[in-house]
Amino acid sequence: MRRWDRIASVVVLAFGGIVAFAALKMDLGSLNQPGPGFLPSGGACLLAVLSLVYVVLSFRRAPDGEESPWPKRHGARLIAVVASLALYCAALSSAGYIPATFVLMVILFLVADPGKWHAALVKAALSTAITYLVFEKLLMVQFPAGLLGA
Amino acid sequence: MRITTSTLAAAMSIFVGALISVSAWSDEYPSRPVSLVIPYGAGGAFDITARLLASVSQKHLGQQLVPTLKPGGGATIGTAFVARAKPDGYTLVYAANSSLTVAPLLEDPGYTKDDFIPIAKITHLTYVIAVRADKPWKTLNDLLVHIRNNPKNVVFGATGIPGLSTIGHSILLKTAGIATAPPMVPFKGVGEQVLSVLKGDTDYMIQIYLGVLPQIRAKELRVLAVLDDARSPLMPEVPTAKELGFNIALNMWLSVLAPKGTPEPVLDKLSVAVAKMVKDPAFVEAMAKVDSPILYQDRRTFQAFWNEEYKAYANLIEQEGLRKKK
Amino acid sequence: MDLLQHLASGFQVSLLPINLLYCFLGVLLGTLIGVLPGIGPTAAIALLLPITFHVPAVSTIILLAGIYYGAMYGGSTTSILVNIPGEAASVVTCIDGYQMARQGRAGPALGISAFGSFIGGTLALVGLMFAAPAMARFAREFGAPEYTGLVCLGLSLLIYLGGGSIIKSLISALIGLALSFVGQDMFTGQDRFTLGMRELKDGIGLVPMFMGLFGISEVLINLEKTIAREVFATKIRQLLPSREDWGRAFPAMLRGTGIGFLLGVIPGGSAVIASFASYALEKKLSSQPERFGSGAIEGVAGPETANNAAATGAFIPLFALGIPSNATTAILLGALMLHGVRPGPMLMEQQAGLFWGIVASMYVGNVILLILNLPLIGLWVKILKVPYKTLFPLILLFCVIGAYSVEGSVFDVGVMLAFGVVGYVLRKMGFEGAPLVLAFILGPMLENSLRQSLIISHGSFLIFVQRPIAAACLLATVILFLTALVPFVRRKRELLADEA
Repeated sequence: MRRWDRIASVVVLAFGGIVAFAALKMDLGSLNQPGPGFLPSGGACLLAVLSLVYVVLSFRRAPDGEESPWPKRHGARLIAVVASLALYCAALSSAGYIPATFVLMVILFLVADPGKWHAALVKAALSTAITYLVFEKLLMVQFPAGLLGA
Repeated sequence: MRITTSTLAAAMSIFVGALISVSAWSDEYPSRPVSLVIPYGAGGAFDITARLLASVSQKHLGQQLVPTLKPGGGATIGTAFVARAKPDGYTLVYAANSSLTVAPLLEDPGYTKDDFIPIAKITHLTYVIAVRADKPWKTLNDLLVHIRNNPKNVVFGATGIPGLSTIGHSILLKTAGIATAPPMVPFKGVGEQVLSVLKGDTDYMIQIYLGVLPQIRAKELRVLAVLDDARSPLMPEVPTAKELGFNIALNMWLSVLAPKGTPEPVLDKLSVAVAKMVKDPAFVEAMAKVDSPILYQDRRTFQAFWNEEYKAYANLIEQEGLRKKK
Repeated sequence: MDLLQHLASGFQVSLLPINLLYCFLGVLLGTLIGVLPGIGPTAAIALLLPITFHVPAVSTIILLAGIYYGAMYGGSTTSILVNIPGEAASVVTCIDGYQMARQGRAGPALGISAFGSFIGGTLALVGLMFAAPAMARFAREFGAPEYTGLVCLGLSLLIYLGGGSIIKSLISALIGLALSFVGQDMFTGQDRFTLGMRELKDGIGLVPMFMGLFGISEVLINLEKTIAREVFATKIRQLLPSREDWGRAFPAMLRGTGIGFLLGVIPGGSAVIASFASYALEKKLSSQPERFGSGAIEGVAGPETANNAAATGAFIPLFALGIPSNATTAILLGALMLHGVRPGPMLMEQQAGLFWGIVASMYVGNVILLILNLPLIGLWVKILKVPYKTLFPLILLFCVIGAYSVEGSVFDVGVMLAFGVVGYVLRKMGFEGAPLVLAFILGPMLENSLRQSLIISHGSFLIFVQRPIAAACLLATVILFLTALVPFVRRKRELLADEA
């Protein structure tokens, strides 16, 4: 996966650079009164140096054309799952646990088994209701009430 | 998995049942449990005393107070959550001056003092100043003289920076006329702070008495002064800072507050109920066991006290230039 | 003998039917909480606290302590089955435990962690009985410089955590370290890297982070494959560890007990670090280190034993010093006080009856836990037979609830999702999650103790040489790094020579 290694090494180097840049702007303090930037600068600079070594190592050798790390076939499925979870996070507080989770689970079960609406609805209803009863009623986790609350 | 109509019906009925159980409530306050938001994590003085209060709530309020932990952001997340909550009396906060007085003065925590209306003060926890028992400083004055003479060779152990205890420390040094503050080592928790004083890495500490009680009882730590108006019933032999000539009263109060805009009748109902709760023998007994005195104040007395305290801290933070830069 | 007499009277207390019942309820609830991600023992104990007002002190502590060490048993279950650590101390169990499950060896993995937990818990109790005062003195030796030394030693374990290249392990660790700086600086109150988000003031939540890095990213990786193909080898060969498994696991358990107990006693040492340390030690001592990461049973046995031994060891500072070493023992301290028990240096003498009653109940509790957990293995393994197309949405829901319920925060669900994506990308690039998590946990300890030490010493690094424990730890760190790096550098040089 040499080709991928090259991209990865550059990404990591960029991350290290940004952290180091931000950390060096903080107060470094002195040895007898180390400031908030003391350790972050050290850590980030070390990260930058190591990623530079990694960049060099990954570019020294020719790409050997191994399998691409990108998903070959099910990319859409991945994106659907991540996107539905992101929407769930955005909607959870205002919609409330039961409606949001029900919709999320319907989508996830449909992703798993496309076209089977009937099964997805039942499984989603069951998993939402059971987790609600177990966690909210039994274990007293307070889920957002949202639309159904006061 | 084959799905028959009956499993579908069963699933739907569970689902609908769950829906109904959240939405069923009527009109007269309080008609459903009241959430008491604790902006701290489980297990601390806040959590324990709030749960003790909640345990006697059903009897006096007619509904259960439900302690809800919302920790994070140095107690500002839970507090801000209540400031933004619907002011219907179903969301209250159990908070302290560290987040309600000091935090809004130091930075912008997402709420101000005026976003809250007090219902009652339940207790306050006094800060004490302590040293290891075998150190030569027998009185607060001994310690202060030592700090003045050797500001480089004394180390102050602190927690929660910047906060009540470090502000108190600044006042103390200022009142004593000490210009050079000794180095200050912050610790994450009371345990580490106590161990460092016991080991001798730090020389003195300021902490709520509850955190040092085990070591005081074992005579491993010595309390030099109680930073309060009155002596503590738990250590009646220890003088207050006031008696020693330092005008410092440093305590962390714990109060129940409602968001601004809560209707007056609801506030009345709540404050009457809380007044009864704090007199409930079960509550009184339990609070005694956790060494926390009940220092109840009704909403008006407490509001007046809080206004005064806020002004005093505002002046102090202004003078010391402690407000955080943007 | 005095000790045996005490213990006998302790058993008299703990074997009373009512206390047996409390013990059983405690460990049962603990197991449940350990299995469910998110809700930790701290929250469960806090919830139960008011209910125990009318229960005698001994029974209360028997119940609450049962929840605490019971949770340590349950924590490994989801790590092994679905790669979601139930609690932080089980992060390391994911590495080999989950691989074992994929090879159809979930049964032995679960079995060995139940036995390991039992052995760790029980042997640490023996240590608690005989050595509590001595261990308490040892714990008191730990100040800021000693923690710095210990943390450096802990960080050197990183070398043994990664499967592949050292440089990638180190980079993962430094990313973890950088992430650990997010939040309010303890020394100045200044916000760092919070991007203006108040929710990040206390730092990134550990539970949402590792649930994302491990649980969510695993689901994402599996989703790339055709779902019809099973993720787990379907044939489950056996339910209990074989003789060969035992031969490998038993020495690991004994070493794990030792490490766990020592680190548990040190306030702030914690079960998490103990589990990482045990894993690293097993890999270092193994004659076939390459087996680690692809289902080595020692990699499950050692850490699972160590975290239980650490949980038991943590009772020493609580009982002997009155100082809690983690959030859970802090709330146990509150519970003790509510029942009129004054923890502190004199507890063991003044309230011997209570102390020995609790110790005896912990023996009983460990036996109950073992009896309870072994039959459960069959049930857990059945979960793996659920088709993945039904299982994965449930795993995701489980993660969502877990991340939410730690602090009741929707933000944490978002953090988990973000780390799920980050974890997915990192794994694609050949980076591993374990070094990142270890550095994330050790980062604040390193920063705090280093800065505290330097303030105490007025800026002199000599403090790390003058304090024997700190010096010994740092020396060990240097030796470990050298022994690990020398072969690495030599290999690289040979490689370069070959190329030239």
